[in-house]
Amino acid sequence: MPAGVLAPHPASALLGFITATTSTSTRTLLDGAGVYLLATATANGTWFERASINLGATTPAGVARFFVNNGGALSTATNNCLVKEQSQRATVGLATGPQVWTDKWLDFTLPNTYRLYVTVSAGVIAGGGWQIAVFGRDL
Amino acid sequence: MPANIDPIFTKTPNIGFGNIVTGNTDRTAASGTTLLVFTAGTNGSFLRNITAKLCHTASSNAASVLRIFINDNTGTAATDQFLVREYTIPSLTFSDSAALLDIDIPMNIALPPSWRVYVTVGTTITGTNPNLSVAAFGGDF
Repeated sequence: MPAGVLAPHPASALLGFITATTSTSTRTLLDGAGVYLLATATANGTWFERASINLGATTPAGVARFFVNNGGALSTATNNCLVKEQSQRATVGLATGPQVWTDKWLDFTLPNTYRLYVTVSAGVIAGGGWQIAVFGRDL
Repeated sequence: MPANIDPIFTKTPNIGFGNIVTGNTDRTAASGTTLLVFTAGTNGSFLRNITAKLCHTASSNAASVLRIFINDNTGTAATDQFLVREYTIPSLTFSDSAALLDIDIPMNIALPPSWRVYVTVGTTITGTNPNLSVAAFGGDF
C-alpha cells in the first residue's frame, strides 16, 4: 500500500518573530543563537511541503536558510545540511494593505526524529523580523 | 507473465547528507576524497533527488563540478561504481541579502539493497569557511 498521508502537520507559529539577537550567517555549525526549530519528523516520517515567510513590517533584504538535522547535536557540522535558501527583497510596511510574503517549496520527506531548522541572515531583524512557518504531512 | 504487476511505493523515508570540500579529479572515484550520501535499505530504495548548497560565509568560490556515483557495495574500485550525473557548481559570491542557487538534481532511480551513492567535487571548494552541503532524498521499499 502506498504510504499516504495520515494527518495534517502544520508547524506554524513555532518560530514567531525574530529579534535583533537571533540572526546568523552560519551555514554548517548551528550551535549559536538564531537557529530555530521549525518541525521534527514523526514516527513514520514527515513530508515537508513548503515554508511560508512573512515579514513583520519594514525590513531590508535578507535570506532564510533551511537546514536538515539528523537529530544529533547542532554543534556538530556533520549532523546538519543546508538544503534550501530563500531571498526576500526589502519591503516597506503598509497600514492599508497586506505585507509581502513568500512560499518556499520544500517537497522532501524526513525520517523519524529528523528536524528542520531555519536561520535568517544578519540584518533582517529591523521592523519586527520575519515570521516563518512550515507545512507538511505526517506519513 | 510479469513477475509483478503492482506498483510499489517506498515505506520509510531515507535521507543521507554530508559536507565535502576537497577536490577529486578521479572520474571513477576509486581514489581521492569521496562522500557517501545514500545507502539503500534491505529491500532496496528509491532515490528521488540530490540537493547541493554552497556554504561559504564570505567572498566567493571557484567553480567546480559535482559528480555522482552509484556503487554496488562490493568495494570502491573503479569496477564497483559508475558515474551517473555531473552538475556544474558555479562561482557564487556570498550574500546575506540574496539566496545562492538551490541545486536540485533529479535522480528518480531504484537501487538494489545496500547499494550506495557517493559524490565528489572536481576541484576543491574555495571561499571563507568553504563547504558544499549535499543531501540525498529517497525512501526504502
